[in-house]
Amino acid sequence: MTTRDAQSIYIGCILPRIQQQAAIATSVAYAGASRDLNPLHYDPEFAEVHSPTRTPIAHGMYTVAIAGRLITDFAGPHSVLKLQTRLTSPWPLGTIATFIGQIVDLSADEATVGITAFLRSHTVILRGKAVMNLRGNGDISQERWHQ
Amino acid sequence: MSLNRDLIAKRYPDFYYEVCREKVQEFLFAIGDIAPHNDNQSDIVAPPTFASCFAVTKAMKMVIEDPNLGSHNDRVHGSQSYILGDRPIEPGHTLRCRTRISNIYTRNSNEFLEVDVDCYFVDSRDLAVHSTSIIVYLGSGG
Repeated sequence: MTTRDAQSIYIGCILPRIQQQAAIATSVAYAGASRDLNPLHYDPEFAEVHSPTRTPIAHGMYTVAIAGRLITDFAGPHSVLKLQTRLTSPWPLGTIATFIGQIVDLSADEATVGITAFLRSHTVILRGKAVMNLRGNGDISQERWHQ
Repeated sequence: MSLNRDLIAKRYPDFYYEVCREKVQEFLFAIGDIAPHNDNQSDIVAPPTFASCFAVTKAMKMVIEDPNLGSHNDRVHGSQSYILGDRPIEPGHTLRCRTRISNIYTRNSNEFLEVDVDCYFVDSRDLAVHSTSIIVYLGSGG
């Protein structure tokens, strides 16, 4: 499995953030991978008529997938027990979004992560919560004295 | 225009989804997942959000194209939740997916369509993933 050094978490700690630009190339790749071929996500002419921003916007499920990566990049591909997200605003292609995950609750087996993603304009595009599995994940230790 | 509330609790025919390595890799590439855990091709695990390929794209298409629902194009995907099972989803697995409209309701001037999809491993019948999608129909709530 991984060779990552042991990582410590505590309530309030922020997982490594992800900054991602939504681009035509990623949108086309996601359309193919998910088979959601709605041209709203890659065709500028179609988007000019149908998009709320008049430009192509990222797939909502692409935004959710980047939010999921906050957890899986940190704790491995099978570390997510639950992921709940609300898509609050569209993510126009060409713009950069920052995804932040913060530990808001912690037990011996699980950590709850509050998730927010926002654009440089400060528009929040996603809010959510994930439950991360800590059981059997020897790479992650808890710093209980931080609580 | 409003959605047909008689469809609340409607179940759709089960469908099957075969998890294939190439599709998982395509998905990982699309979401920029280059984490070390996916370097080893023999040890590939689908990320939790891979479930969108079947629990969202396939299941929601079936519901939204239901001629009795009264769906229209002025809609956005409002929320998405996944609850994952104990067993990782890996290439070679076949999942049986059961789709159900769990609710249709109005809030402010919008209508909300809530769809639950339960996906089970066919070999063990264990839960692979439970998905809840909420689609918001803008301005159709009167």
